[in-house]
Amino acid sequence: MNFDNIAELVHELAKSPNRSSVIIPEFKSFREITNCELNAITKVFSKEELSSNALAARMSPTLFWF
Amino acid sequence: MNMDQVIAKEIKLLLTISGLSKGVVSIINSWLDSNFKINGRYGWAQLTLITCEGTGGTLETGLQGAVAMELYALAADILDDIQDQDNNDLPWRKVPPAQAINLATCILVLSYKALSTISNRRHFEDVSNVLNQMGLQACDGQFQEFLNDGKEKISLEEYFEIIKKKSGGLTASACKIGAILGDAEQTLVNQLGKFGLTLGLMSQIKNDFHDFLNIETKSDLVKGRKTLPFVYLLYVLNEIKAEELKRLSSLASIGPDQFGPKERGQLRELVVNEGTIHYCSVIYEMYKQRAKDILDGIPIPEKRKEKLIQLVR
Repeated sequence: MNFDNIAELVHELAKSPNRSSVIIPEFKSFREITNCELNAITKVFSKEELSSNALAARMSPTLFWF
Repeated sequence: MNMDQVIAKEIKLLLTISGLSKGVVSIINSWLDSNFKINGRYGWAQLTLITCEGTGGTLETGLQGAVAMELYALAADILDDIQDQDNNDLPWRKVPPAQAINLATCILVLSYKALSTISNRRHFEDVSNVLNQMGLQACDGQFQEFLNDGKEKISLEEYFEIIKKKSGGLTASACKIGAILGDAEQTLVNQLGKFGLTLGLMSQIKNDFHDFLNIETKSDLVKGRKTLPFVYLLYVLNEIKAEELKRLSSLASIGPDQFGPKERGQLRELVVNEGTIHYCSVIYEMYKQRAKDILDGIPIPEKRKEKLIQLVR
């Protein structure tokens, strides 16, 4: 998992959410990013606009011990 | 008796035969109770037992390892809180540190005492190795964290290395111990260890994110602790915005007089606009997918995997 590359791509997308169709191919052309990483990014950005509350709900504890 | 009751009975028995004075037993019991309010009832023991049963073991074969894991995790929490001067509302933070350290040591020894009752020698040796390695890793991770507290920033890679050793190490060990006691082959033990590691990372990412914005009760931002949102922001922000983040963190450390609703709003805006929520969410999703993939590749019947699958559903 390349945490830095993911961070840079996520940051760019967060700043320009409507330009994902341009940003992602451009990013892929000069930085290494796996399909698995892209899938997760696409999944997160394809959801409705994320608020901290929405994230909190999605990151709900999966079990009691969390 | 359900799983909780069986675990409670085993812990009670362990305390009864420990020779500890009534006062000490009473405090340990009350501390176990407080831990339940945070982590859920016997969460660590349950994770160990779920893995044990998943690999074909029974409640009886996994019980000593589960109790050892529960007690070990409690001792680790106590020592962590003392070292981090965190979670001031918990009972072990309300007694002098010397007393808390003494009782944490006592709980740690109880954990090993629970292990010593494992009758299968090979299981005993393997579980002891896992527990020892976990403790060493956690200490190492904690020490790295101390060193990082003094740094302006750390890399994302460094952040993940530390949480693998700390949070990941605990959950990985719970799963490994369960698998060993379920008499799983080494390959399966390792696979379940990886699954547990991933669970721990997911949990830490979630906690980091929640604690970052929870200024009132948590000290992460105040202390400039290198949590995921903080490390991410310092990595992606330009110089001006990074200075703004440091300014807000420094105001938060002074106290609520300096860090009011306006500053709170500024922090929230910075966090939201710069993609912190998205980043934490993406990494969380990736680990969740990894955990599911690991489970998919584990050669045990689906029915026995059910409780493990529920953990990452």
